[in-house]
Amino acid sequence: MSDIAVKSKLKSSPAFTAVSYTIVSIIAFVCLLPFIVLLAGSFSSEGSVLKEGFWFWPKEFSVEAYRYIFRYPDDVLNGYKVSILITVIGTVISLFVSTMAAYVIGRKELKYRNVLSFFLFFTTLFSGGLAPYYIWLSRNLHLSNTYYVLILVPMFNVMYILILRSFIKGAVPEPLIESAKIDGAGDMRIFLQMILPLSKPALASIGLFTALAYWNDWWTAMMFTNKDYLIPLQYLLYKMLSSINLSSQMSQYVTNLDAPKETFKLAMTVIATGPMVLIFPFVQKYFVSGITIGAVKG
Amino acid sequence: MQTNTEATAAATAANIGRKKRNGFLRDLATNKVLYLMFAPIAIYYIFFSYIPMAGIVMAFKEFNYREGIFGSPWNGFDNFDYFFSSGKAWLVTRNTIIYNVIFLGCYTFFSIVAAVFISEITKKWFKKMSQTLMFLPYFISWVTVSAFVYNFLNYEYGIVNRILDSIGIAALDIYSTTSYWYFLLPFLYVWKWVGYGSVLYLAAIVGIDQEIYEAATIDGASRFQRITRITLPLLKPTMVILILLGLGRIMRGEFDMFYQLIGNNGLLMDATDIIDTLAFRSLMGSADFGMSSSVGVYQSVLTLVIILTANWLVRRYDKEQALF
Amino acid sequence: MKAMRKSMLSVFALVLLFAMVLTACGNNDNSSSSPSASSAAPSEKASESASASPSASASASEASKIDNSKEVKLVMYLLGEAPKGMPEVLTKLNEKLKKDINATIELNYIGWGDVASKYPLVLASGEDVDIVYAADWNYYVSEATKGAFYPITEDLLKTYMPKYFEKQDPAAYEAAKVNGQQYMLPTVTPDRKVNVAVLRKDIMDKAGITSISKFSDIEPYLAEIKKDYKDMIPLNLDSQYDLPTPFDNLVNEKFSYKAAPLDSGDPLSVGVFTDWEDPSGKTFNVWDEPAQSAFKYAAGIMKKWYDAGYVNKNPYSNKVRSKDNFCEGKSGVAFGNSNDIQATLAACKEKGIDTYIFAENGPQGHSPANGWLNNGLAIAANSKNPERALQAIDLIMRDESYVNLVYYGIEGKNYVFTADGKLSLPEGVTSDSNTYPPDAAGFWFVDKDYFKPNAAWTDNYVDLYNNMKSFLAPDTYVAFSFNSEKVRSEVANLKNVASQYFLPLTIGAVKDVDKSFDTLVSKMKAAGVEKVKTEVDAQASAYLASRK
Repeated sequence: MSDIAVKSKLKSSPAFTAVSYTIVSIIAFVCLLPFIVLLAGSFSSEGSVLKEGFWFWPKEFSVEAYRYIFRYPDDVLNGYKVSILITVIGTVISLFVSTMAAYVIGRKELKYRNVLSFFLFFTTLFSGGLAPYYIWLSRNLHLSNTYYVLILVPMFNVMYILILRSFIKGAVPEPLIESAKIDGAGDMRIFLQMILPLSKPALASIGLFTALAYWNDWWTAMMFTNKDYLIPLQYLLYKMLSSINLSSQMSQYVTNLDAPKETFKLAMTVIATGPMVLIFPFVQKYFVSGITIGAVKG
Repeated sequence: MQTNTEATAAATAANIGRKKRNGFLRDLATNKVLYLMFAPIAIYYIFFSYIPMAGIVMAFKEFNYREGIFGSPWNGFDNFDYFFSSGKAWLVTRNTIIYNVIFLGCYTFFSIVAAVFISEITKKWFKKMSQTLMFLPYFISWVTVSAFVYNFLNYEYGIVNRILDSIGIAALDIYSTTSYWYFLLPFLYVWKWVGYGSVLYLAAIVGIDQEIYEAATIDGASRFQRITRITLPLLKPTMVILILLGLGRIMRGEFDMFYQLIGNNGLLMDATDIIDTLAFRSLMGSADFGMSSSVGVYQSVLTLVIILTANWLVRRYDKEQALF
Repeated sequence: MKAMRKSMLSVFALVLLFAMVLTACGNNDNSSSSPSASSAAPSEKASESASASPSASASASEASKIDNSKEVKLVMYLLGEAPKGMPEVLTKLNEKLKKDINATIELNYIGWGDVASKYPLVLASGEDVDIVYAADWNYYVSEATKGAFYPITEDLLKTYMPKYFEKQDPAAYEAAKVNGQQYMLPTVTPDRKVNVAVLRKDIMDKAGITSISKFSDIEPYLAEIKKDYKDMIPLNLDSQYDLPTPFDNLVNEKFSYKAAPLDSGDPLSVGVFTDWEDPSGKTFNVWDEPAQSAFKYAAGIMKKWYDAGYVNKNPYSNKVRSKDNFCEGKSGVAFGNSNDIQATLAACKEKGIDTYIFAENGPQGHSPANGWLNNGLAIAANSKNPERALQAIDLIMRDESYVNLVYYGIEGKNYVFTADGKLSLPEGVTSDSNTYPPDAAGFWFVDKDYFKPNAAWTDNYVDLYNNMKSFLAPDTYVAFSFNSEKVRSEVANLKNVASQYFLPLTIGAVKDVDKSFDTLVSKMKAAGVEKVKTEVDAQASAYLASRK
């Protein structure tokens, strides 16, 4: 009800509306343009890109780059499978545990909540470097060549936990929690039944970021796996790219120079981006339309 | 149910006893459930961050495989030598900080602008579409960006220069002139991250209680006033936390962007060299664990100082908005 | 503030605690785990006996019989990517190995983009690894110094690698020594390749030149392109390979210049140089002769060319190599080496472009022969089956059937030999659909004398290929690999100085050659080049003495 009332009022300022639309359109357009170049480039022939550079539409249409990627479709499908699997499982677990931790470090009655925050934040400042990390994970934890490593390594981001903490503080007023406590609700129940539903916009955005981090992560696979069935899409594409570079650099016996090197990079981005761009609008509804706390309160 | 009441009672007790000096164990006992809820993340960070963190000693060691990380001989600050004797340590530290401050400022500003105006838009499809479009640059890697930028800006056949040429203006030699890059780098940075940033601010705006807006509208506030008096002040906590987190990355940040766009370009180097690029260039082709972790330690210590100062300042004004 | 300090203290305490726990674990690992301890033992023994009493150990090796009764799995790491057809080849390879030495191989690859980060880690972690690719350009010396590899002795070679030992030049063993101990099995056939520049015949005709004897001769060619070919950049250099190449060629006119300093071996760096054809092995700084005048000469020409618009203004950001868009008419000159330029020649031929190959030889018409360490294998220090690994390497490197298998794939499926003994593709297989392209699997260390010429090579490439032997001359420092341990910081600083003060000189993007050169010299001195030179000289004189 209230939503509609506000919106009808909002419409009453045409000049302001025009400004909003213009500014948003300009920003969106600037962001879109390079992507069009990317798309056009990925559908160009390698020769025309080398000769004429990139442009807003393909100067010489070709699907060579895509054909190259899908030369062995099974590999690509398996890549999608692995990527989707780790993204879904990882994001769900990560989001749940992160939000739980965020709720805890935001609770006032916890005397050491700042210590806990600092305990988390400290990890973003110092790291022991790659070598100890690698040795510890592969030799001591035996995580090499497992799904676990693909899910665990990119799992948490301290920034997101701290952002969630601040969102929860903003979205769920302290008195609400206290009254629930007086009603006899335990912390876990408060978390599950109040915090989670009320932080949907934050969960949607952090969930999106986490999913993106999983989806784009080729580094973990590169470092910790060498089994074909464990290769996520991004790493597969990355490997293809490096083998194209290799075949054109090392060999006197490989006769074809037609491997689409430049256009391949672009097609690779399109292939990997596609699913995310398609899913994006569905996630968006949570932070575009939002929720009103009043309704829950009542 | 009973445990719940107990917990509540304990929580109240804890509230009362807050003024007394309580030990950690007492806190643990009174808030077991909360601590238990924190346990998974604690375990994760102990295993995936704190234990490997011990490897930081490598920065002070001459590492060899026979004796391992902890057995290798110490060599004091030898591993830091190449960085501080390069004569550029101060320059790159300064560049790193300046660029990151500019980036952080521009990024915050444009993310908020985008978020505020998107939230003002009423057509749902337009809202969704514009946000999706803003997110696209996030997916384009810096390698690709640098290929595009070269394609558009290079001297001989860059599109910009062709256009200038056709209207009779002399071609610009952008890749040998530092001044363009002071503008280009922040622009590209904002371009890449504005969609990402606006999502967070938009989530914060959506989380604002609609009743506040209603009340303001009834009081006759104009749209502009609603933004300046309600939306922006209520975005402050989000802004503070995001800026503080941004400061946590102030000594590193966007190596790929500098490396891909500028690379080895000696002509631009004094203006665009940052700590990470200097270290990368110096250590390329040598697999020296000690030397490569030494710069990380330098960056971490500086960041720690900066973040503690910033956090302390924030705490002085508003305890609740500090990081810790 | 107090709370914060406290929280920090507790975190530090935590870190410290874990550090201690980890140390304890580490120690336990070393003392209690028996397999690693026992695997280390024979290596120590081997190296001891080798240095102490060669005669005693020789008699011992005669007595010892090769015991292959237990089947073992060897884990092998190569660089690059597994070609699609790898599983089949590997199955076949394992069949053969099982039959010959009762062993199988598990093959892993370290991708090109990840070598720098992953290669040292695989060795450092002491993971399950037996055989690993090794080369001087791939951290061999630094990894060997750190103790990553299993020491190789003459006895081991005689016993377990008879075929290899029979063919290998003893100088290769000398070359592979780091601190007096050999850790690597260098290829028996070092690469034969020279750097080349490729020009277009049609433009050469227009410019009125028929042949080129030294690189600076191409000036009219460049001028012609600038004048009549608007879309083509005469020297369209990329940021990695091409960037210093024309400059190197010009320096090469004055003395035999190897394009990379002795200390870092990095073509994009500066440091201590030498004339590789000078048997005395004298080293010099850039401000000494002949370097100074040669560098100034080359930088002067580059500046002239750069100012005339013959060089692309922004090579630092160009990622496309000149040889890749040469046939597209974007680059006037294609730079490469005699191996990788073949594809460019073939592509140009297809487009009907006639090409001219200029071999980038020094003033005496020679290019340096590649060293043995360019390609090879090593055994990981904690390999559990070093003896079996050596036997497997012997077969893979030196047995013709193995070489054909790992290099060309499966006969009839990936390759055929034509009647006149040339390599060709089977009916119905194109180079695009071949699942196991030659050379792509990373076995670059096999005996290349078994290789066959390719049926698809262009005529001028075959000429080059046949002439190659006459181009190559021995390089005084062929087996020298600098150990930068003592001057790590200085070498790192020099790389840094190079990108800011040397590379602009090499492309000619400077206002005043003399002034820029002086700046370079002063920056190099500040970076500690003199200290590096002292160290280079010390190691070089030891090296030169050992060669006599």
